[in-house]
Amino acid sequence: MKISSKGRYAIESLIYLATLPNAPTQVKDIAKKTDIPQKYLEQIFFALRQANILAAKRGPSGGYYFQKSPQELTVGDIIRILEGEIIAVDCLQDKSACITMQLYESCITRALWQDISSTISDIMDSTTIAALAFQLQGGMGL
Amino acid sequence: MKISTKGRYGLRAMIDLATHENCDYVTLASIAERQQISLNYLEHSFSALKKAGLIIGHTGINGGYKLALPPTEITLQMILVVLEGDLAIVPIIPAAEETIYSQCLRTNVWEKINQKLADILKKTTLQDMLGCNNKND
Repeated sequence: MKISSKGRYAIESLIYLATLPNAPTQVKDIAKKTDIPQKYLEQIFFALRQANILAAKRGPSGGYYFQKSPQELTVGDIIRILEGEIIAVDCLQDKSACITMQLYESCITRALWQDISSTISDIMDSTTIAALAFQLQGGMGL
Repeated sequence: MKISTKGRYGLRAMIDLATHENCDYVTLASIAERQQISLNYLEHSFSALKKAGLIIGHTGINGGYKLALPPTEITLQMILVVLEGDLAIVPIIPAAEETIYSQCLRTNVWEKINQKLADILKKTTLQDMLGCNNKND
């Protein structure tokens, strides 16, 4: 049960971006600072732009900047955009994903998977990109 | 970010075993039938659980499996580590490959999640999962 590198890289690069003034920043520079492959980061940023998290400016002084404030942007938002719902097993959101439908009503493990999913999403939803950037810059603990 | 079918099936099979053992060995075929899990799949998981010392196997006419410990002493962490491997939410990144950004994310988010998940799985025992299982009989 792992978060993919896509989700991790997105958040890492957004933390870096949140430490800068909100002006267009080139993917090349972000990739270098965060040690993330540039091509991969371009794909990730394209998806974040589609989701209106970032905006892009074209031209020689172009780049990406925040469309949504990092103070209002949580780790959970980013993971949902790039990896889908934060659930430990598919049957939590889609009953038809139940592997043994006849036992669905009496399934005793579903409550556990629900508990695990909420634990993960609670932490992700209460952590903003701004708070992580603040922490990085020597701010107080979250 | 999902629990694999191995973990899902395996945990259900362990709960079934705990529910039905009553001092006797329980056959895999009966667990497979009650839980509607393929026998082949179960054999694989149970061989790993046996190797880890969580269950005991017995061959012969009245053969089958039983728990190696009381259900109050088998935590979900013990079971899922065998079935899922490492339960961390992100892979371990070698220190040399970390940036200040990945480190910030690891300490403030991933490790907090890992800690909370470990707390849940270590404090919940197989016994806690029993009791509401009668409908599956």
